[in-house]
Amino acid sequence: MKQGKKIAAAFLVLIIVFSCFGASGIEVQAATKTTTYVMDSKKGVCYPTKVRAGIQELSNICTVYLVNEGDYVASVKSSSSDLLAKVTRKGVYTGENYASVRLEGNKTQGCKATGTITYHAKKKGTYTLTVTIKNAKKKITCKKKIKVYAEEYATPVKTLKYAGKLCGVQSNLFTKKSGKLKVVMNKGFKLQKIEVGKYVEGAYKEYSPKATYVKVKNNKQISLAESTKYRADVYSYSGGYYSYETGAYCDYLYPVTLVRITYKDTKLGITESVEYELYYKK
Amino acid sequence: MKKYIVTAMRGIFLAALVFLFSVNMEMQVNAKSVKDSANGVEYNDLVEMGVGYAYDSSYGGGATTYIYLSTDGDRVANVKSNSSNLLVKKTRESYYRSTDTDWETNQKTTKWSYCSAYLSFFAKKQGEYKVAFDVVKADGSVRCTKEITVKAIASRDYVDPIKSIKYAGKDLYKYYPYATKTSGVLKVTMKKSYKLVSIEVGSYNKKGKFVYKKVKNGKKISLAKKAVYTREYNYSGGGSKYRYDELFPATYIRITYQNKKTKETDTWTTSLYTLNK
Repeated sequence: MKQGKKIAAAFLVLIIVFSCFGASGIEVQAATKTTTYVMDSKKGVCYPTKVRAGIQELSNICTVYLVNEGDYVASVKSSSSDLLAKVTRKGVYTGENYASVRLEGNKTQGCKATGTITYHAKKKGTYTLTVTIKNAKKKITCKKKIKVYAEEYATPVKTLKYAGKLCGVQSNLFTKKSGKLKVVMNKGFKLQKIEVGKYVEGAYKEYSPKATYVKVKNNKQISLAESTKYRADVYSYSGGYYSYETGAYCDYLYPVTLVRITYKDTKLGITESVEYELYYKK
Repeated sequence: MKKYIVTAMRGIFLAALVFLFSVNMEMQVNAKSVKDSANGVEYNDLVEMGVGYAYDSSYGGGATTYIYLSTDGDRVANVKSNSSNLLVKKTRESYYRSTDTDWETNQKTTKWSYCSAYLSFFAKKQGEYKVAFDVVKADGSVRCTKEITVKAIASRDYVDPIKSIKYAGKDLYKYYPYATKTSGVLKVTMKKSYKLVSIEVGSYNKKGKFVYKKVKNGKKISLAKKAVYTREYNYSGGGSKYRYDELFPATYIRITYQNKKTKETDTWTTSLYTLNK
């Protein structure tokens, strides 16, 4: 029986691995969570189900968004005296103005009110915040729970090294054309993907350069971009009696190579990415 | 009807341009804009930057500056630095030209045109440098030459002018993350080469207004127990209103000091927090 479970588990893992890196080329983007924000559409409340707290930080903040006009975040209660919390900002949006919150699948929701909670953890641990939402008549509409994971604050990427040299602390200018790129993550963050991006020489795009990214393995050789003339912003407009043309041609001082690191926050269960810039000096 | 749309489009486009440039201008810590109307040149004659780091937003340099030329056909050329420790390059050149067509004669006239350039800097070492550039006419002749001062500062070379700040007998960091004692004596001691000019204590008052009050060194101060204030923003067709009630009300301590040698005065600000629960 146990053996059967093991085989089944291994098979499942294989399926997941194949679906991630399979020849189909379709990334499992839809299945990856990018935010802990959820929406209770019945009550019109958007809130994060899980948040982090850095114990060295004085103030950590999160915001609850309310769809219905007149609703407000009345109070917040902490599960422990080691987690201090307070509703520190209440926002009201009038007329055609809305506060926008990003939900799963890159959907955005416009809201008429916000309540920002400031929290401070005295000790490491897992806590719960209970948020009470009231309507214009001061009657409770619902209560929502937010889980707080308090740890020592750490950036997701512990170190990024190119050709044996640290990037981002002292300098991001490198003299070696190629070298090993090594990423070390901090505890609680799992490396998922490293992509190296290079700008396309002379690519046309309105006011932003176009970069192409190539997936690379950790601790493997990469080469830095050498071209500096990869950005041209040209735009023209012609309408009736009026027309204009505008353009910009760029020639960078040092060529840039972009390093995009995608990781999973194991505590919050969401996937995020961070981008670094490496410059090459010939 | 069509003309209104065109005017609106033009407005939106110009606003976007202004926004783009204003964002870029903000990158300089201390940029002073200079306008030479006779030659149609607008530029910053002072740029302050950090040492050793390059940014994508600075086109591969550690900082950028923007030069605006209003004469049709003019360009920025011959950009030179006075030191090998400060690299400079013209990294972005842009132009804008709009044309109006007369609906009766079908004649096209250039309504407005300009050319602009970005210079990117990279400082290898801390120091004060000079960068010169020419404004060149369409026929290749030099219209004028301008100079920019670039101050490159390494952040690690910052010298703390304060020897100690004590509140209720203890150094401020002892009260991290927040102080439970809401009043006590504030004592500031400066380092040898700096002179204390004034001490101010700032917080939100009961009316929700942030105020700084001058205090004497070695005298008792009270920390803010609450920070309640509102902010209101109005846009066409709507607005937003925020009411703040901080968990950790801050009391700011602003110290004005003078460098005895250079006679330059500067300020240094720090804060102490209390718990509002």
